[in-house]
Amino acid sequence: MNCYNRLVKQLPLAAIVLLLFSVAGFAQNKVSISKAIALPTDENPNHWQLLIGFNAGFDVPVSLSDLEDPKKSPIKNPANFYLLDVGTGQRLGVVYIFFDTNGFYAGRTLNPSAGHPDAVTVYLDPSVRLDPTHHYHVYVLNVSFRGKPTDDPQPQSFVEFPKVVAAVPAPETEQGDPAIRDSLSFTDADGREDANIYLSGEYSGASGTKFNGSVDIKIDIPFRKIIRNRIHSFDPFFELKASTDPKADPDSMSFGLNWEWPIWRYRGDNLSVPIRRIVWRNAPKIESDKSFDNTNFIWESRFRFMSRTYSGKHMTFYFRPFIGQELGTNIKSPVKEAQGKFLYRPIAGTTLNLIFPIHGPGLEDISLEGSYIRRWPLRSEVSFEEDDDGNLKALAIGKSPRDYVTAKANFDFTKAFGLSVGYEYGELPPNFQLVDHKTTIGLTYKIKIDR
Amino acid sequence: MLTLVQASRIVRDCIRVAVGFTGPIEASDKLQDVGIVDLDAREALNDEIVTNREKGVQSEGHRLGADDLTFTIATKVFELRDEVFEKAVPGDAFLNALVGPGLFGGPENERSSRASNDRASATRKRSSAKAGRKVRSVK
Repeated sequence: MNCYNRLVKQLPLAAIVLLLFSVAGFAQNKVSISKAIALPTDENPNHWQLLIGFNAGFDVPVSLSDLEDPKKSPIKNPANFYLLDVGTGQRLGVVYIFFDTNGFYAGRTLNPSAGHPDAVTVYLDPSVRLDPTHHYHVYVLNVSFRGKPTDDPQPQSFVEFPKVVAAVPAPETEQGDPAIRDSLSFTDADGREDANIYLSGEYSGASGTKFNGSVDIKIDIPFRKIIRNRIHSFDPFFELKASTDPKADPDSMSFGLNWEWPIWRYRGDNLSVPIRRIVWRNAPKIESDKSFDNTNFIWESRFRFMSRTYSGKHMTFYFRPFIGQELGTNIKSPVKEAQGKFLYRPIAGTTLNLIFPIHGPGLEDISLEGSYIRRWPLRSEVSFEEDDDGNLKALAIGKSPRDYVTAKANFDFTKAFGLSVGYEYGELPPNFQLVDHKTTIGLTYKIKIDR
Repeated sequence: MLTLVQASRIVRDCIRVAVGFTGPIEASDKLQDVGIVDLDAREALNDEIVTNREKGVQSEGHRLGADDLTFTIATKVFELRDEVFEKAVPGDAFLNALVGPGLFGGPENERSSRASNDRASATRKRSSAKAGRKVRSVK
């Protein structure tokens, strides 16, 4: 009984200790130096500097006039930087710490919507000569990050010397040389538009009907080139949207080359300008049904308007409207009426995205994707259908506008893998077969080439 | 070679100009948390870092290839800063400013490199001013 009473008395104490440990665990502020490079200054090859980058922003005084006061601005205090020669154990002198205050202060006061600086240049005592054959270690103590002191281990790193300073022979391939990228690696993507490889398989069925499967495949491998100080992106691509359900089969396949570059870029300082750039996409491509019975050659040209990203604490929103045209000719059709027919379709549409970041266990985020495109066939187009005897007959599609709309709710369990619930309605070329209010649920896997 | 302070400034400025992001940008944020939310935004940021003469690496007399940066929207801001720092190489004008005209993009390329020489001269002036500030504070 005594033992029981003692346990009951000690239980609250144990709970408090446990709580304190938990709070301490949550309050951890681990900061590291992601890069520490030593090199001589431009002006004097005997005067050394350290370039230091942190993985978090350090705290700076609210008032710009306090910046050079080491008590109010610990990052500017040379005594807080410990540079040790590992071989001799000698501490080397630091005389000045520089970081760029531009952009972090509005007038003389800290701008709370700017973030915090995260890199410094540390100037060593002019009498110090670093030897690239020695090992040096730098520690930063008594500097707070994210409004809190840092936990052990304190920010620290070995100091590296650039290859030219260390007199190591330069490698055969330099940065930017495609030869160094002899293999591909992959990382997760954020949506169909962002993915280089996108595979979505869905299965649907209802009582009394057969189960049907559908696929949405996109492969898009870009390479880029700078022409007249603009980056031109060239993307060979393949896309397939198909289903085994005849009433919900977009039956649309296309492959070709996307070539796009920014024709207009907003480069002023007004961040609230809603359209940040206009990108011109030209895409010579083959569009076909999945069995290549009806095949068109199309030159698609689109002006894509890239909106700014509207970011709030709990939501992010952006949209990408476009206008353009599709110009081409039929190169294969099982019906004579369609063969060699000239095609011309102005197009307009937009994509809309709404993201709710969760970052919780098992659920990364919830996102809503919508896309809409309208095609106006200015030349009457011809498709085909089977009659009761199985003979193919021409089917005039006419000139009426054709819409295609999709909406998708994505529940991303991880950045690469998730569940999606979708809705689809409309008609896609070349057959303009109606997808009649199709709803889907499926698993999505999306990755992106990391290169 | 760029400094990490310059690389940090370049990344922040280019994020803002690419997507108009108005919130705070912290080194530990993922790019998707600061407005680089999709492939278009990623391409826009890459374009700004590589080609923007006022805010990108060219503003510091350096250059990058169109495919040099490998970041994704899941990359953290400080990782992109470090990548820009590692991969940016001095432009011809920057090297000429250091060792004298003619060795890198010499007289035969003089016309094409005149504009970038002007930028390098501006960079030199900035460096001198910075050095002046440093010396004053050391004293």
